[in-house]
Amino acid sequence: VSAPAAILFLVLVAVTLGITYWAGKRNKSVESHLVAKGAISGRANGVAIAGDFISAATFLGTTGAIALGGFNGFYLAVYIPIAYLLCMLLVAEPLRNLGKFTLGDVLATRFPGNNVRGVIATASIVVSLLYIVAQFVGAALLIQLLFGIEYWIAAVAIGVLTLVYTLFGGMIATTYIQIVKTAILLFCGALLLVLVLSKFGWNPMNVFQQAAGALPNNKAILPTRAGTVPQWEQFSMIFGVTLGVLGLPHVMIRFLTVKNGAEARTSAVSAIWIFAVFLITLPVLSYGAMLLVGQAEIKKKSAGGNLAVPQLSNLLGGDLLLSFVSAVAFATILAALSGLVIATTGSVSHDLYAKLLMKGDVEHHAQLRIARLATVVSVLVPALIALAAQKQNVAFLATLAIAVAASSKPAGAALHDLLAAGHRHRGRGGHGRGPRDRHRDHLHEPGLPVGGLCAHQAEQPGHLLHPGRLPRDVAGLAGDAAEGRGARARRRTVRAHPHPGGHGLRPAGAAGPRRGGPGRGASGLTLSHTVPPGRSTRASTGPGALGRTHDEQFGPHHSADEDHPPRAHGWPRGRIHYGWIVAVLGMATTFASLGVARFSLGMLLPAMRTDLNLSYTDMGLISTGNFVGYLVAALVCGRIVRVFGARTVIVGGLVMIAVSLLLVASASSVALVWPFYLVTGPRIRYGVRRRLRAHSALVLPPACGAGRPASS
Amino acid sequence: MPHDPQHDRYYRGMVEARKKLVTPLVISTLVFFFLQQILTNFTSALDGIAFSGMSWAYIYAFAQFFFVVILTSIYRSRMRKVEQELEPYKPTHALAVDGGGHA
Repeated sequence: VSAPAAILFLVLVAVTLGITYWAGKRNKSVESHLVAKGAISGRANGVAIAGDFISAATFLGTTGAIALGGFNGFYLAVYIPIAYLLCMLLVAEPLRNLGKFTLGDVLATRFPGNNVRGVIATASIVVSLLYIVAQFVGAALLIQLLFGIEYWIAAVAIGVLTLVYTLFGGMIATTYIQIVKTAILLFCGALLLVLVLSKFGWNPMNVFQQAAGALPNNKAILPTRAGTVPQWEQFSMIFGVTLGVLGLPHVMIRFLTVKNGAEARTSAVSAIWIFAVFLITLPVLSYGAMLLVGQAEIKKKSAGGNLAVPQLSNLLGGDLLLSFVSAVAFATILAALSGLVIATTGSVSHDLYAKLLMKGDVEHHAQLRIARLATVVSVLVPALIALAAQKQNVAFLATLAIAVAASSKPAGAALHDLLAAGHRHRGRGGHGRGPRDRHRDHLHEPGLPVGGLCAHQAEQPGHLLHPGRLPRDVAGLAGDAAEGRGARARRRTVRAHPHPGGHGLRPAGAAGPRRGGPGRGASGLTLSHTVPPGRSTRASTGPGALGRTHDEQFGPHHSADEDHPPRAHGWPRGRIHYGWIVAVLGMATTFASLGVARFSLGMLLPAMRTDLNLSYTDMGLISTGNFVGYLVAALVCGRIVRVFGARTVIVGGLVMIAVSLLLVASASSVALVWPFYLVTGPRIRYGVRRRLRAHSALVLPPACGAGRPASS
Repeated sequence: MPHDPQHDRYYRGMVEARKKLVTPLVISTLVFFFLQQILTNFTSALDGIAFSGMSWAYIYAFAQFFFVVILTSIYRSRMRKVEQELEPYKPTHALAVDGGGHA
C-alpha cells in the first residue's frame, strides 16, 4: 500500500467515524436508528439515494463493461434514471405518506392483519441479505486486489466498519456517510472526465470517434446481438433490474427519512438529476480507459473489467489518483452496505419483532435493543456467508438480489391482495365480526381520518397514486364489508344519501346505516368525532402528522406501533385462511367456465366431426354459436349480476354450463349442438365477468365499493 | 374532528392531479425505454452511424437521459402548481395531509 493511499484511507475512515460519533449522540431512538426521525431534507436525501445506487458495481462495473463490451455495457447505466423516474411517479410520495419504518408499514396501513407484513418483511430481509452478501464479496475482492491483502482480512475490516457505522450511528450516520461518499464520487468522476478529455482535445466526440475506429465495423459503439437466447436474457435482465429497483428495501426506506411526500418528491428529483449527469459521462470514461489503457490490459487485471477505472486513474494521475479512486470505491461499498444493514434491521426489529411477534405491544427500549441486535446480526451473517462465497461471481450475486426483489414485492403484494380478499369475501357473507373485532375498531377510532378518504379510495383504485396519507381507516373499510351489506343495499343507500358537499365526494359515514350505530368499524365521519377523553387527536398515531412533534406522534416511550390494524373479520385464527378458499374456488370456477366450457371445444371438435360427420362450416357454426352467446352475455350480464347478485349468477352459470354440456354430449346433429353451445356461451361470460369482478374486489377496499354500482 | 369539506377538496384535487399526470408519464416512460431495448436487442434499426463516431443507439440512449430529466421537471412543476392552487384548501389541523411517521 502506498503512502498516499494509506493516508487517504485513514482520512476517509476518520471522517466517517467522526460522522458516526456525531450521529451516535443523536441516535437514541428507534425512529432515529431506522429512519433518521424523518429529519433529512429532500435534497440531502436525494444525494444519499443517488449514492445508494451509484455503488461500486455501477462506478467500476459499468465502466468496465462498456470498455470491454461496447454499447451493450451501457445498458447497465441507462435503466437507472428510468427506474428512479418510475420510482418517483409511482412509489416515492405514496410510500412516504403511508410508511413509517418499512415497506411492511405501507401495506399494513392499507390492509389489516399481519400476513402480508410478514411476507414483505421476509422478502425484504432475503433481498437485503443477498445484496449485502454480494456487496461484501465484491468489496472484499476489490480491497484484496487493491491492497494485496487476504480476502478474509478485507471482509472482516469491512464488516467491522459497517457494524460501527450502523450500530452507533444508525440511519443518520448512514445517510450522511452516503452524502459524503456521493460528493467525493462525483468529484472523482468529474476529475477523471477532465483528465480523459484533456487527452482528446477537450471534445467528447473525439473519444467516441476514436473508440469507433479502434475496433472493426464500429463494434465498440454499436449494439451487439449474440443470438436469440442471450438477447432475451439481456432484455429480461434489464426488465428485471428496472422494476427491481422499486422493490429494493434499502432504496425504498430512504423515502421514509424525509418529513413528507413533497420532500420525497424532491429527493427523487435530486437523485434523478445526479444519475443523469453522472451516468451520461460513463461512456467517455469507459472509452477513455479502452483507448488509453487498452482492452488487453484491462482484461489482464480483471476479466470483467472491474478495474478499468482504477487502471485509468493510475495512468492519468499516478498513485495519488489511484488511491483517491480506491478510497472512493471503498467508501461507496461501506455506505451501500450500511444502508442495506439498516433496511434489514428495520424489517427484523419493526416488522417481525414489534409487529408480528409482540403484536405491537413493545416498549421503546426493548425495540431499540432488538434493532441494535438485528444490526449486529445483519452484519455478521452476511459476512460469514461472504467468507464462504469468495468464489461466487459478484455480478451474479448482485443481479440475483435485484431479481428476487423484482419478484418478491409484486408477489407479496399479490399474496396480500389474495389474503385481503379473503377478509372481504368473508365479510360480505355477514359473518364473523365478533365483539373483539368491534372492540379493536373502537381502539383505533381516534386515528381515523375524516370521511373524505374513503371516497377518494373509491374513486382511485390505484392506491399508490394517492398523494396523501391512507391511514387506518382501511380497517374500518374492511369493517364495512364485514357488516355484510349486499350490493343492492349499498346502491340504494348511496342513492338515498347523496353527498352533501356538492363536489361529488361522499362522506364515508354516509355509506349507509350501520348496524352497530355511529362509529362502528368504519372510516366514516362519525368515527372521526370519537376521541376518548384525555387523548388529543393530535397525538393520534395515524400516519399523517404534519406538524406533530416526535412525542406527540410516537409518545414519549412508545415504539410508534400503535397503529396496529385490527382484523376486520372473524375467521378464526389457526385455521385455513379464507383467502385460500376464495382462491381455490376461483380457480375451480375458472376451470369450469373457461377450461371446460370454452377451451374444451377445440379438443372436442375433431371427435364431434367424426361422430356427427360435420363439415368445416358446421364446426365453424358451432364455434360461432358459442361466441354469439358470449357476446350477448357481455352486453347484458352486468345488469343481470346487478339484479340477482354475483353469487347467484355465477352458481346459476355453472349449473347451465353443466346442463348445456350434457345436452351437447347427447345431441345427435349439428342443429342441436349449435343452440346448446349458444347457451354455454353466456355461462362462460358470466364466469369471466364474475372473476373480473372478484379481481376488482381484490384491488379495491371493499367499502369503497359502497359508493359504486355493483356491476362487474 | 369535524368533517372538513376543504380537506376533501384538497385530497380530491391532489388525487386527480396525480392520476392525470402519472398515468401518461409512466406509460410514455415505459414505451420509450423498452422500445430502445427492443430496437437494439432484436432489430438492427439503431445500428447505423448518425455522424462521425456517434451511433443511433447511443443517440437514443442519451436521449433517454434528457427524456427522464424533462419528465421529472414536468411532473415536479405540475405538482407544485397543483399544490399552490390547492393551498387554500390545505388542512391546517394536525391530522393534515402530509403523512407520516415523523415530525
